[in-house]
Amino acid sequence: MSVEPRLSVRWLKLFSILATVVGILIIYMAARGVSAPLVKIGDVYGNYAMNYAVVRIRGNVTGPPYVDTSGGRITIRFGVDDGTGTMNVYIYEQQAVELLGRGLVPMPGDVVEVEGQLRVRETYTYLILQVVDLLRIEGRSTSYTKVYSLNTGMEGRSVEVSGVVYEFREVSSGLLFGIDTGEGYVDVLIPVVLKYVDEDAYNMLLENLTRSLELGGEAVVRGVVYLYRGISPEVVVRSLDEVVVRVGGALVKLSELSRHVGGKVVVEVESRRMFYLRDTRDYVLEVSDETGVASIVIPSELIYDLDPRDLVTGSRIKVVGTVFNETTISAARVVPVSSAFKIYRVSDVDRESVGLILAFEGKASSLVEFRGGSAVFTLSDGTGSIKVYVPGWRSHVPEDVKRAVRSGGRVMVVGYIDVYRGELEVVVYDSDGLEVS
Amino acid sequence: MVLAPSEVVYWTLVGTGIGLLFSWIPGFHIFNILAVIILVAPAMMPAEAFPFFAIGALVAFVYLNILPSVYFSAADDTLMFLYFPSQRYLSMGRGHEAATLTIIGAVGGSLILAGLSPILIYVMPIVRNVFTPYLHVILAGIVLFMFMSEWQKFGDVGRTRLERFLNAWKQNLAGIFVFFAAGTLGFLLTYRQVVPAEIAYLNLTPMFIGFFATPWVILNLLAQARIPEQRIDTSVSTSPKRILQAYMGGSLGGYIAAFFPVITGGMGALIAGHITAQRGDDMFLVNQGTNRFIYYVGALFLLMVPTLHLARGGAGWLVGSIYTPKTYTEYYMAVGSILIASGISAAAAWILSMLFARSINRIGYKKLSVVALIMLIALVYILTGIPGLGVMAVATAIGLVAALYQTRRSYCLAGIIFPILLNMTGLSDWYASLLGLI
Repeated sequence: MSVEPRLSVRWLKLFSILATVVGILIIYMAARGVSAPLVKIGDVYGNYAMNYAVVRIRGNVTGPPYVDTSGGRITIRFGVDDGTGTMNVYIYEQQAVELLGRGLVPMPGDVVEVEGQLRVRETYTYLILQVVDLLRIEGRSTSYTKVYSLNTGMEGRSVEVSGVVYEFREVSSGLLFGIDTGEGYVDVLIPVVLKYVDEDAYNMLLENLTRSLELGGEAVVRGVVYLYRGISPEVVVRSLDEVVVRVGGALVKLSELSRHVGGKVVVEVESRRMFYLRDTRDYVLEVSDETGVASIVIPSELIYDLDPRDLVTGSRIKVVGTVFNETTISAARVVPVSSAFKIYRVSDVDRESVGLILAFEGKASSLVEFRGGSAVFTLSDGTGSIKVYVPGWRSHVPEDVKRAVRSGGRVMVVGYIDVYRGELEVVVYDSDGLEVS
Repeated sequence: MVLAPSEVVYWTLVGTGIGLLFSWIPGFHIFNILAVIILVAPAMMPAEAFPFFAIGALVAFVYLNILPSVYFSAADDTLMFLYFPSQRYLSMGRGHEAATLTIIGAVGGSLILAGLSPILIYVMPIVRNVFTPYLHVILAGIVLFMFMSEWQKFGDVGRTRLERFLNAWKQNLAGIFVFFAAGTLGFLLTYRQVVPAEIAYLNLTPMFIGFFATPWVILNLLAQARIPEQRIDTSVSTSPKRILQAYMGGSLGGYIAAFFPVITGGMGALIAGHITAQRGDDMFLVNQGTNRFIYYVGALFLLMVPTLHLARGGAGWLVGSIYTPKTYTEYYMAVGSILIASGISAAAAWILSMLFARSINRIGYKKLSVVALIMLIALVYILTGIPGLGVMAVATAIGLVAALYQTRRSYCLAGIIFPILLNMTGLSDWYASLLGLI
């Protein structure tokens, strides 16, 4: 390559540096004066010409934030609905850590304004929060309405509920537990994102909820009503400060129930007799302790979770529930303490035995299966015979047990004694109370 | 809906044609063309056709863009202390040979990409799972490596010790200046909507044109070089063994650049070059051809891997916002699309190279550079308006600093690397508040 007369580029070198500095200063000044445009989600969703646009959106948080920790990095995602559409906002690792460190977690019911960068993909548009300070949470109510049950019309309201913890599961979205308020049942979710705000406090709640199932426990919860899958109302806790779980409850004697009417108690009692309330489909368990006798009303779904052998007459159980009146407790949870299970002889049963929960073993015969799905057969143990009524025969009794009964095999039954058309019978109220022996 | 094979071929050919039409022009980048086409794409073609159209255009660009880099990268001793191998070839009248070697490299890149396509399906998900948690560390490491791999070139020039010291560090300090200037510009553009939000996907277009295209054209205008008569040989000075070695080095660099976000072909080549320690201008040119092909086309191809769908590179993001091929059928049709476009583009590039070599002194590349500069300014103005022109002007100044102080132009990539690094390391809040943006 031949070279023409030399051209000095010294001036250009200096100019380029000067132009860089001045130019960046001008753009910096312009950038400081520019605020990201507030856009409607419906206008930008799927608009690929706006890919990478820095914009603001403002709307309601649609649900508890979703946390993804796959790959060892944390990502938080939450939905925003501004009335024209819904868009997910992603907060990646470092910003997520910063956000959690500040305890600044958007929750359902919050109104948020988020400034971030749009990402428009083929079928999905989302916003990435780049700077934590550009997420503003507004409209979080600090006044709570005390409620005893939930309905879909309460969506978005800040509420307070309290009652006995009767159910608890650790699910992917957090800690899900049920509270019996005495007038209804309320589901509560502690979103898993709060675990990353304060792991110790979250784990403490996890432990207390677990122990509540064993020892009884009460919870006082504040939060916002959220419709799970758009239909099922639950209370979502927005901060770990909003939930208190007390393990144990007040352990009382039956003679003291009159002092706790409307309150939550724990009683340790001996089971005596059982009856079925056809109109409410609840079971009533007559119990006693050294101070008195009382009735425990147990919802059928609760009683089916228990092994019938743990409820036979004489067994000790712990009941967590609400005192309805001085002799009645509405059970939220029943925990077996010790079982008095033994096999009785049929000849031991007489009219005085009605309501007792007993177990028998013998040969089955004379099976009659009813159209409604129940069945009755005769059990003979060498000392006598008694009718056995099985309400859940068709749906819940295992096939091998059915075969044994049909073929006249030996079976073991657990149930309460009842009188039907003047004749004594054993009602196997739970299909677990019928098995091949 | 999956396109019929005939439609795939049709849209590949259309894309290749568009690519061939524009990619020989100095300073023009196919991403800018695709960015314009994307605006009218919904009226022009079905969404499912856009990936194949983009493959055709991108492949044509990789081949045709070899020509301006060989024939229109004029350098003289006042502007360029070290010639690139292609410039050395050009100065010796062997520009066509340089272009041919690079084309051979690109052909190798297309064959490697197509040949490895069945394996990518199984390997890439593993690679992604292994590297994704450490991307920020790798990115920071690459940036650090770029600085560490600089050396002081003029340490023996100067009368006093201070003068020699400043001469030695001038280039390195300019590199640091370019990195932080480009990084700050990129940060401002990423965190504030300087160009209108309605065309935000072109946010960085003026910046990239300013970093790379306009300085190149300006330097060509200022260069005082006369290009000697060019020979047109039917053979090249290299050997099959050296070509194969260059393929390996080039494909390694290409895959690194294609897979890791914001790592470009040049940076990938820098890393691969240190790994494979290849020497020789012929190998360098073949290596560059392979590297650029796999970097550009491979990055888009990763979007189409049925087990991956990874959006990398400008084309990947543009295509991914319209349609991502999802089926194995589309994936293997994309392989065919690459080979078709590659065959046509290789032939076109080789023939055009001969034309350029014959008429290089008649073309008047200064006039061509003026036309290119006007077209670039017009393009930026039409797409992004006055704010875009302002951004391009500042980026041009930064690009000129890199060129005039003979530091790496890849430091300009801090325009995207710096904001991403700050984001990944959680320092973006700090930097934004330092700048008073929040």
